[in-house]
Amino acid sequence: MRNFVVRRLMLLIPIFLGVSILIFLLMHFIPGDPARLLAGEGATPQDILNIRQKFGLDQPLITQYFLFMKGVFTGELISLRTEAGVMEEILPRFWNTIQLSLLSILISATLGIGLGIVAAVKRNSWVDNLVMGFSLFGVSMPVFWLGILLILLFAVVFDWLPAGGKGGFEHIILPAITLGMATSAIIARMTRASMLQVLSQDFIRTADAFGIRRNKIIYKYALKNAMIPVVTIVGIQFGYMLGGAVLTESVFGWPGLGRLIVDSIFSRDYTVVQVGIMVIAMTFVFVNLGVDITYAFLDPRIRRR
Amino acid sequence: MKKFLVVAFFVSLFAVFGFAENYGGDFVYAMGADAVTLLPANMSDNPSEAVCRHIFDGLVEFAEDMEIVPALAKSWEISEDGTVYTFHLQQGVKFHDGAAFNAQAVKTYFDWIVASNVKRTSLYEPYIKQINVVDENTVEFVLHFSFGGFTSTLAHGAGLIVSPAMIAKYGDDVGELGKHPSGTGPFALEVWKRAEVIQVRANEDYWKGRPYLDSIEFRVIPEDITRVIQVQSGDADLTMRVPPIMKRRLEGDKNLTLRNDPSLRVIYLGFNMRKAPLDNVLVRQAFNYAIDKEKLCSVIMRGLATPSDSPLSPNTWGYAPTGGYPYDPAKARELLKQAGYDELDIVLSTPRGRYLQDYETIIAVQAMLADSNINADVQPMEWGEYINFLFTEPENSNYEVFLLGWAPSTGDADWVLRPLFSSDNLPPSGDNNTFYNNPKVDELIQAGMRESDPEARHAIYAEAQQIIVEDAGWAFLYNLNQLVVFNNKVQGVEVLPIEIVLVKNAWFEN
Amino acid sequence: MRRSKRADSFFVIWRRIKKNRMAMVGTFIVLFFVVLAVFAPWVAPFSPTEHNYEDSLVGPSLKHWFGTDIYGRDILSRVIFGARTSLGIAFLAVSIAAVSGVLLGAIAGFFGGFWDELIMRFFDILLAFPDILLAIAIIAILGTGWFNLVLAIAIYSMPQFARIARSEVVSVKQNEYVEAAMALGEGPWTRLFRYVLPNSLAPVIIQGSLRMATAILSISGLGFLGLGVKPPLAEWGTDLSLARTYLQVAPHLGIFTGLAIFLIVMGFNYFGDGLNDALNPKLKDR
Repeated sequence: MRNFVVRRLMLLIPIFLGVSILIFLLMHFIPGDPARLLAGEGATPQDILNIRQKFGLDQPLITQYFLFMKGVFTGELISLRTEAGVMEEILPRFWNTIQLSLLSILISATLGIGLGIVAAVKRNSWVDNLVMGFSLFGVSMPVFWLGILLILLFAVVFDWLPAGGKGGFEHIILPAITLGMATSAIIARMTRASMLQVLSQDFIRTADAFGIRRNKIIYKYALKNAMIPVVTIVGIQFGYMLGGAVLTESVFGWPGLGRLIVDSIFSRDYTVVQVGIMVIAMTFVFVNLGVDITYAFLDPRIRRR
Repeated sequence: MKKFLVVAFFVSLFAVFGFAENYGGDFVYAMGADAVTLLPANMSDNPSEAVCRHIFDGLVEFAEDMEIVPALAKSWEISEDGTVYTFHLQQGVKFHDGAAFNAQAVKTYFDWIVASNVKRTSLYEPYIKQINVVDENTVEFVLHFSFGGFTSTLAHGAGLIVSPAMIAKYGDDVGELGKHPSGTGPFALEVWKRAEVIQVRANEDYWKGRPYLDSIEFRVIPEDITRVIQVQSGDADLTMRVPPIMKRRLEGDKNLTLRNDPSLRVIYLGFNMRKAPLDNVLVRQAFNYAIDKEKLCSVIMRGLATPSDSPLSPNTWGYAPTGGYPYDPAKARELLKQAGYDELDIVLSTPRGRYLQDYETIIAVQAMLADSNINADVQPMEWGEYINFLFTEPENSNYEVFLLGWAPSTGDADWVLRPLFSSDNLPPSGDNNTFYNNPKVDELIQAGMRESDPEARHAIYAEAQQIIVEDAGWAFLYNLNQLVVFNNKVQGVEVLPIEIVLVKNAWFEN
Repeated sequence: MRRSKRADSFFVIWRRIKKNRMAMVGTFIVLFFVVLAVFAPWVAPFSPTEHNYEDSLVGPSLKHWFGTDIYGRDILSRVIFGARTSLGIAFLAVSIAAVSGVLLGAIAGFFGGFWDELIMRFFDILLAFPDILLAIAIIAILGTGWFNLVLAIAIYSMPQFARIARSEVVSVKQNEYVEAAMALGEGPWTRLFRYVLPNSLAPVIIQGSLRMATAILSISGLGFLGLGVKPPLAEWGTDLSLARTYLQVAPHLGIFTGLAIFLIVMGFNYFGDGLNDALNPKLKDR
């Protein structure tokens, strides 16, 4: 087990380096001079030259990369746009994204697992059809359209919830539902499939033959075994949410990390984009690793692979 | 000015009789972007300026009609040769951090700007020779040469004065200084959560008397329409940049007040005149005839813009009507033929979201041009990339036709014609990126700068405008209005034509 | 001989699809939109780009079934032409991603060792990027426009195909007939293209169909963020982002276009699921 974890952790190093190089190169291929942009309207060539020097933008690319990596480890990187520390910019925004993703995954896991179990237990009934219908509805819904419709309904027509921005708890409800819709659909499908598989297995049939009550079979024996793949999918989906919330954030004006990165791409704030994407990518990789380790722990056969 | 006086009158009346019910209330001000910095000398964006104008005061400030009125300076004199400005300061004023406001504080701030390398250093550095502390409450600016617009630069956002204590503490770290604003203004910073909210609290010891509002929350909501919905539902008290389509609906809402004021901003299509066929005046005139400005104003802008017939907006000092170009696609096609083209392919670049309805306008323009045999390939760009693209060394200028806006922050014709139409003011440092070059116009611009008689000066600018329009220096589109919507319990909102909305003197009615 | 065998298996699959109601619905929706897209100029009642300012923001009516936008353009016609844009871009992007992804994945799986490590680690890095952000960064480099959209979506769709192809190839190449071919002295490339790849195609086709759904969502998502096609081309996401401002005054702008995206994505999801059931009967319940 320990070997497995250590090996997986070692594999993170090349991915970390790869992501950092790729994003660094991507950002430097984007046309547009950040110095010109920072200087604003009415700047003199000298202003622009000074800014270029100040941020090391006049250095060769390879030097810039090493300066950047050094900055990542020393924490001395500053945002080109606000001149505040990069982490100071990123962490509050990342925390907003985490809050949104956490509530979202909570809603969608509860809803998805609940619906999945019901559908599996009442297989081929109208309930099952309804749940499967909902799950396809959920994965097919464009998030931004769902967001627009929810705003139209709950903010404009009924005026129950705010249309966007960040404030009290009521501000997070619509974005969390929007972000969680597709995920709850995926979780519902996974739960249903997994439950059906477990229910068809021998030990359940044996228990059935022994005359144990069906409810007890379902909730005590089947559920426990069926949850293994579901936990995996919940973890992976949570990873996706952390990075894929850009559209939801932009529909609702939620000040999350995804939007910070998009805005920073447009304002050529290299350092924020680079570190921001690395934060998301690494979180994603770590969440996946956590899921894999949990999985290996639950299912010993994996460890040997 | 009249409106301002009336407001001031009632404000003082209430103050005298102590109508305490006017005091209090937490104001939510919804804006489209976060402030970038709260260091006045380092800002180049509108939200930063809107917030800073609540936290800081300048020596002088703009009234709603762009007149320059006293603020921290009670009065001032200008020497006969125009090179020495002497300001008499308000007494007993303190910064939020407790530091005293006096002549030394003024000197410290402006000396710091000139010596530093911040975004607005170039606004003062070319003019200020030295600053003298005459006594505790008198300060003297000595200029390198006579410059009539100097008080305008002091009323500019960058002239808002920062506490000397903060400069001593953070003067070598612009980023930190921008996060710790300390001014003499009616409100002091309490919380700043990036991209979310800036909260300011009433300054109890404000030198003009405590402001009415207890606090202002500047809430960041990027989408125009979402901000409007928040005001409609009462979650926010005020917002600006209201999409024109919402005007009628908001007018019908009894809980809201709508203000529709002209701004100084002119929206136009610029031509890269270094490139054929845009160097041909016939082609440029064809563009002007091909675009139906009335339709742009009535349909796309829903009446919140007026067709433009000059590089100046009618509210900029020095404007003279020129007649402009009527919509006449047949004439446009004929002019193209005369220039030797049956059909024309051009690239039409535009920002997206920088100006109200900019992208919507371009899509309409594209279709109008197509009717006159001009095929425009629309190239939308993010503002950042766009500025880089449009302002580069002349030999690297790859753009053809582009949409841009201009609003002179001084309210004067000079600050339109000189930067945009002087043949020697070329990018990347200058703003004449159309490469407009007419010696006669150059001459008139210089004459206008030197002329001190307003009537003669106006005549000079009228002639320049006429020539520029005949040369089809731009494809003239429209003059923008600014629409501001707020809770109708709010009184005393000020809308400056430089697209800044102030609530520092506002109050809630019971 | 060979051809008839293929035809046979095609009919077997088709019969299975026909039995699956979901798959049939999906097939029908997809075909419906494909027909709309191909025959758009004949089906659409108006030109999607013609401005008519007298009819600005008219609600649904007999003349304009889905109403008009601020320029007086017919929404129904824009929805129909939008199908052309979305399907065209998605199909091209997914095809490019499938061909290059499968090829790289197959090479990795078949040859193993160094190439396997190199290719798959590269895809791991790509997969570590949040996908829409990768597409946004690519478009920021290349600029907007439909072909750049194709490239952006193709690049971030590639890793999934590569992974599937690799794992299929790894399991197929151990089959006896492949080993027999090697014993007969056939070279590695011949073996790869002749025996291994054709047998790995089923899951790739299923993935392709599901990927079409994702691609269409991404195209409209990017369009919604203002990174889509150039005007005046009709594209659903771009139209929806412009519609946002008008929702209170003209809600019809937001309804029909969104519904079109929803329907076609659902069509591809149904179709892909049905195909999965038909091709992998043993996994029917997953």
